[in-house]
Amino acid sequence: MTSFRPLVVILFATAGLTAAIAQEAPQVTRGELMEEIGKSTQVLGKMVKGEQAYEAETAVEALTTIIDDIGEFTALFPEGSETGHETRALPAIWEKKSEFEQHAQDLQDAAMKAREVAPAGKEAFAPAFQEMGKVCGACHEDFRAKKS
Amino acid sequence: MKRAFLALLVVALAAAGILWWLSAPQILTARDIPGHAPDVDNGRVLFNAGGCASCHAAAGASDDARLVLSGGQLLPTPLGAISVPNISPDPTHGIGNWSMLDFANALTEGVSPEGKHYVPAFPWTSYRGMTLTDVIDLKAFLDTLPRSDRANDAGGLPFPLSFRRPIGLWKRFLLPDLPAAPAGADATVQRGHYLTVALGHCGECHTPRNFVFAPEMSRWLAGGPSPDGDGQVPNITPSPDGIGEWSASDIAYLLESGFTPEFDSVGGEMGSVVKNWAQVPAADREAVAAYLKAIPALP
Repeated sequence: MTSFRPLVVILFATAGLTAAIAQEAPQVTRGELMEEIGKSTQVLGKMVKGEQAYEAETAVEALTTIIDDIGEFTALFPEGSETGHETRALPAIWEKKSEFEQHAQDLQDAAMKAREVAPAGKEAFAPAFQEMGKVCGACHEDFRAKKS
Repeated sequence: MKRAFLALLVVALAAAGILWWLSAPQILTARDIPGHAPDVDNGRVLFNAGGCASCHAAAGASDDARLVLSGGQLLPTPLGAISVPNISPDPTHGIGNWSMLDFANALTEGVSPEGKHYVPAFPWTSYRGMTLTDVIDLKAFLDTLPRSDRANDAGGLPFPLSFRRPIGLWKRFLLPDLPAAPAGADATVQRGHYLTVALGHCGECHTPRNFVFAPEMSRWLAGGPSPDGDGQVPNITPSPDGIGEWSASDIAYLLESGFTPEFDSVGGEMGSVVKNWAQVPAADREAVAAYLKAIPALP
């Protein structure tokens, strides 16, 4: 039963987000999606680093969250949402939209690859996770502002 | 009246002469270059630790594209944007014609082969801490890289900022010495000190600057406003306001993967820094981590 708890939490969180999308400003929604991607990455990273025991099932769940969230992400940057709500979006997102969207696609592809190899164990998963990290950094390098 | 004017003129000319003399580039001579068989593999480590590709490769380059040092990125500085030069081994457009002495003077003295001061957007202010044998190894590695025939952008900073001579006064009177290794540092911490201070040039962004743009060494690596004017650069000293909660392996892992202990993926210039450090030997990342645990904890 315990092993299902993260799944239940994620299901509720996803349901909550879906309900929220209707009413929230896009800056807030996309920020929450990125937070959730970050939390899932943390679940994965702690297992890769050995801070938590590796469980393939948990990894697949976290990766599914990332794949779903990043799929919704790039639609949340309409004109007029460049500033406000403490967004850390840089103008480059609108100036180089196709490059930005490619980074999101790269993350989805990298997470799908990682999800394919996750059941094979930590040794197979670790390099795929490292590739995901590169994709995260590549986008944050040009499209996310520093903390102010 | 005429005599007073003449006296004033003499004083002014003398002052100008003294300023001219004080601001003159200080350079190495051929005799300073040690005899040393170049070690290309060490040069590759230094290239990555030094982060040459972050500015001299094309913007956003990754993997093998980072080895084409064609220049062309625009660096925002407080004085205006600076176009990064081509430092590929192309003899015409790059630095293929430079002697070892030219290269050493550029890196450790901040002086071009034409005898002009470099603006400290080029971090010779940190590379001046490099050993000359490492300078030789780095050049040997750069010489193996692909040539680029991209011509450098004309122009640069507008007059009077294009006049570089005052940088000589800044070097002589305002630029502090680089910090020494912590007292009692073991070999790992000393290696980490060298990599952090001289190669990684971490202090260029992570140490705040005063009103004359000189680093405040009493605030070494304690963070502050970003030099490009947007946002804050984090404190990376081992204090509660810095990264005191991080283990040494957390720091080394960030340099390898870009992930903080909370698994945020670092961005901005640090994204490029991670691309560099992911390529250096693990022992060197661990040395940097050991050094960052050994420096004074600042709020």
